Amino acid sequence: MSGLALRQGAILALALLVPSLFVMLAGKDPVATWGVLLGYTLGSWDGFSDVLVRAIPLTLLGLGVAVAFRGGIFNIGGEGQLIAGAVLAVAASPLLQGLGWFALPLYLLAGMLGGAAAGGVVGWLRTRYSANEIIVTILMNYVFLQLLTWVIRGPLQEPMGFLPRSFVIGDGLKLGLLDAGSRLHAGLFVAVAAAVVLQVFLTRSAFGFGLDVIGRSAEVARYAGIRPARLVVLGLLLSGALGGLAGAVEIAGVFHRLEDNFAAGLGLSAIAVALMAGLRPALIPFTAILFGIFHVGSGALQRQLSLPFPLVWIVQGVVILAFLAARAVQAQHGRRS
Amino acid sequence: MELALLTGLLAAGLRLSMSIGIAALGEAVAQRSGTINVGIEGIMLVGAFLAAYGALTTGSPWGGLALAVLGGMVLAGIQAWFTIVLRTDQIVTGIAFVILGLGLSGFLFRISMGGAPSSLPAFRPLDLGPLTALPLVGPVLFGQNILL
Amino acid sequence: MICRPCASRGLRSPDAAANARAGQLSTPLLAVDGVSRRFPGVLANDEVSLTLQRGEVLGLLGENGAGKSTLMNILAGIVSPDAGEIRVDGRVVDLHTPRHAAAAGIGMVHQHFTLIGAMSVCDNLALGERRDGGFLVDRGAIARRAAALARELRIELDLDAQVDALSVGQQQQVEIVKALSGDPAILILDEPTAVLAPEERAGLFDLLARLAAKGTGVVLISHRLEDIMACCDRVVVLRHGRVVGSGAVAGLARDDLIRMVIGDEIAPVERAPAVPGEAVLSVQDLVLHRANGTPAIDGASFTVHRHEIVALCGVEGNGQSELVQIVAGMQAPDGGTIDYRLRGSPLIGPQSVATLRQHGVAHIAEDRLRHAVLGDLSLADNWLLTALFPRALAPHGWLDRAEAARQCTAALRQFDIKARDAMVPLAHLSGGNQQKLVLARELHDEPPLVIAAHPTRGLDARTIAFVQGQLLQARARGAGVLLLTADLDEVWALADRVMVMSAGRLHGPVPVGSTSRHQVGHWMTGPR
Repeated sequence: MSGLALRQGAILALALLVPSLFVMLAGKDPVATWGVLLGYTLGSWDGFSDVLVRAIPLTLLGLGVAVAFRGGIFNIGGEGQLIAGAVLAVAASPLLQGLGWFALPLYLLAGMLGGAAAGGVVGWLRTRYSANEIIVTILMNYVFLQLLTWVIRGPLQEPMGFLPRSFVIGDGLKLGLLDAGSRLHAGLFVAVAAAVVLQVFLTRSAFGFGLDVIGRSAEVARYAGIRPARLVVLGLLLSGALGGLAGAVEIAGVFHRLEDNFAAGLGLSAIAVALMAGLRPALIPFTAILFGIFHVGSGALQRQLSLPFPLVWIVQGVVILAFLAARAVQAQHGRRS
Repeated sequence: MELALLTGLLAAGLRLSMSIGIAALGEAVAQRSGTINVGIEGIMLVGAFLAAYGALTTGSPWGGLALAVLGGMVLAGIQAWFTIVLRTDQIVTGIAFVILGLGLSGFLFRISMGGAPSSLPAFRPLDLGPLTALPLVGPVLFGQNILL
Repeated sequence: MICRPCASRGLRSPDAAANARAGQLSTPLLAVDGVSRRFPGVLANDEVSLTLQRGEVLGLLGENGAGKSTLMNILAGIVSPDAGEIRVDGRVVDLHTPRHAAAAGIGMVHQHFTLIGAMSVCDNLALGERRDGGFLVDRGAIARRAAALARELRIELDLDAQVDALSVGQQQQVEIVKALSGDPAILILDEPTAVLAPEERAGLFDLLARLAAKGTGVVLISHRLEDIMACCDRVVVLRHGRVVGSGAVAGLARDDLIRMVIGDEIAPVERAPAVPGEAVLSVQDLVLHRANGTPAIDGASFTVHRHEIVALCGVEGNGQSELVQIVAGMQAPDGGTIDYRLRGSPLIGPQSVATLRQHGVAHIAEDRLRHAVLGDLSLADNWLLTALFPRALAPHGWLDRAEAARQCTAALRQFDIKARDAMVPLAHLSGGNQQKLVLARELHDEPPLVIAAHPTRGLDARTIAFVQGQLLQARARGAGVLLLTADLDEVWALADRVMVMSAGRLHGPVPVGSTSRHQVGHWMTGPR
């Protein structure tokens, strides 16, 4: 085996080993643990359908992250944009009653607008005031989180007024279940369609190419006549729109109403999903499924083996670090040869 | 506003801001040397867990403090190894550490202390005598514990 | 054998003069013996040999690309020679890191200062200290040493001042003190006068004379004849990587030096006569200010016509790079007018790059890797890069990658570019082949205006000939070419008219036939 393959193999082994160590720390057998994890998520329809349900918002949000990161824009505010989209979509839903066939697409569009607005603000701050988008987006996450807790206790609260959650969206706006025995909903088509559309758009359009160029060098972009500022704003609008769409879909397909913490953990996981896919839209659904496996599997581990749920975060963190290490090793190898 | 309410508000605010302030100090050191430590939240979480765990096992809040500082240094050291030796991207590595910190703190908390709130040996408010007795200013500034 | 201006100030000690005179007999302080260094495609130093005596100021003279920087980098420990020996005080030294160079007693003052503007003078000096153990920074000791040095050299040094607030000349003095803190036997200064105002230059020369009087060996690297003649005892001239002449400054006339620097070989001119057509570019009273308010371009006016090549020459830092950037649309001027008459209706005033490319302006960038190409992308993608505007390969916003690949592959054949196919990453190509691709790309649409900035810099002889041929072909086809170059051979081979930029002002353009290399060299290397 070549030196490179050996090192990458070692990294993979470590990635499997480290979470196993923690499993053993909790007093459980790691092999059995992996067995339960994979058996439930891939071996049972219950598990796998749940994996897909989780993969849907991860795909959409991951696509949004990928669009921004390709342009060198570190949009860490996916979660906030997702919430913004969901809130706007739900808020607009009463107005969409009685529009029949148009209601659902308009609802989703409202979600995209909400997210796009959130992204647009970041874009404006970055181009006009040279604000650091990492800081802005992280802070805006908090803003939108608070916005959510407010609306479900205030303007959008359910008519009964007891619990902190919004009213249920109209029947015409719910994404139908694909299989009566599971939670898998028609949002799956939205996610897959988005991935396909974006793969084509980002690799075949002048906009996508321009975004790539900016992501590599703003100076070369200027030399070629591309205006970085314009593309940055458009990129953030698109990125935010995808996040907002994810929020709208998640509500329409799973929750049917706004609730506290409905988007917990999606933001960070989506970043991991996008990075592991190399920012390629075609691969994002697959890495989303991978992270869905971690998420759903951890729930199963908690139920069946009493392993604490946060294990999923350890696994995700280790996987990302292993991925980074593998890429670094590859780059070093390339540099030396 | 009633004096008692205001006093309580300010005292609590100051107390709660301590953790953010100390963390911000750490970030400032990092940024002065040109690095961005996005993973600081993850390190804070692990630090929090280690502080509780340490306090419980050593029976003293200082033990918890020491363990937390040590743990923070270890985690930061690993992060530094990734970004400096392996030359991985600072932002992405930091995010990975936030996720890792979330996982480590929650997981270890649940397996070591059952995941339920329990009483810990903690820092008691200092008693600075007549200074603490001053209205408003007393409890707010001088009624804090030593960490301030 | 002491230089006249210095002698008139009575600054040189008789010992130093005696040393300089007896150069051959005593062991030189520094001896460079047969040093060679090759970079991909170019032999930067070709068996260079020179000596430096104690207390002597040696000038290293040559144009850009002559090999001065490489030699200096070798002495500073930044680059290792492929062959040859370097001896300090007769001992062979190994200079493969800057630390070794410092340990050997070689101090460097770089052209681009390594000071931190936001910190004080004292802090900057502390940064330069060689810390042999010790955890704390002993500011007091640093300050005392610096003050003593400043007294000796008779310069003013305000240790508490923030470096940002100092003038460039004062910053340079800080750099010099920093370099001297290690007590080096040899001090090398790289183009120190490039950033100085005339009054500050005299102060620098005084300082160097005092240093030499103390016994330090000083090497002054410059392309400016005036500086060499005012300050140095001896001079070594480099051209195309080799030493082409050396001698005592007192014994050389200005003309001798110019001739040594620019050479008097006549390159074969294959340029067919052509009648210039209408103007494609006219620039009037162009002005650009630097950040500190001084003008980088101080009222430049010229025209470029179809069927002609206008060469722009100048020593680096005189404003010509900025001029080219403005004409190419990458930077906005502070004053003046630019008019383009390309395809379609005339364009009045400065334009954006996108507009210029749409109307047929090609730009072969001075810094290829920084501006013109993306190494990670494939050749076909790099071809596509500049076709986004005019949307030639992206009609309706969708990329036509197939067409880009086809055009690129055809170009590979036509231009004899060594690459497997259009899909390999550009970084895999040699510099020469990369430049050929850039040329192919830029000239593909037969643009009416071609802006070529240092198009043959760093290339091997064969590629240079090729590139020059391409520019001549563009001219024959009816393009107007603005050629920025520092190579006078190239000017005589290619250009119809030539203009020289010096301190922000233009000499010319004048027809090449009505002037001489000597005259151009004179404009380039001296004050106005």
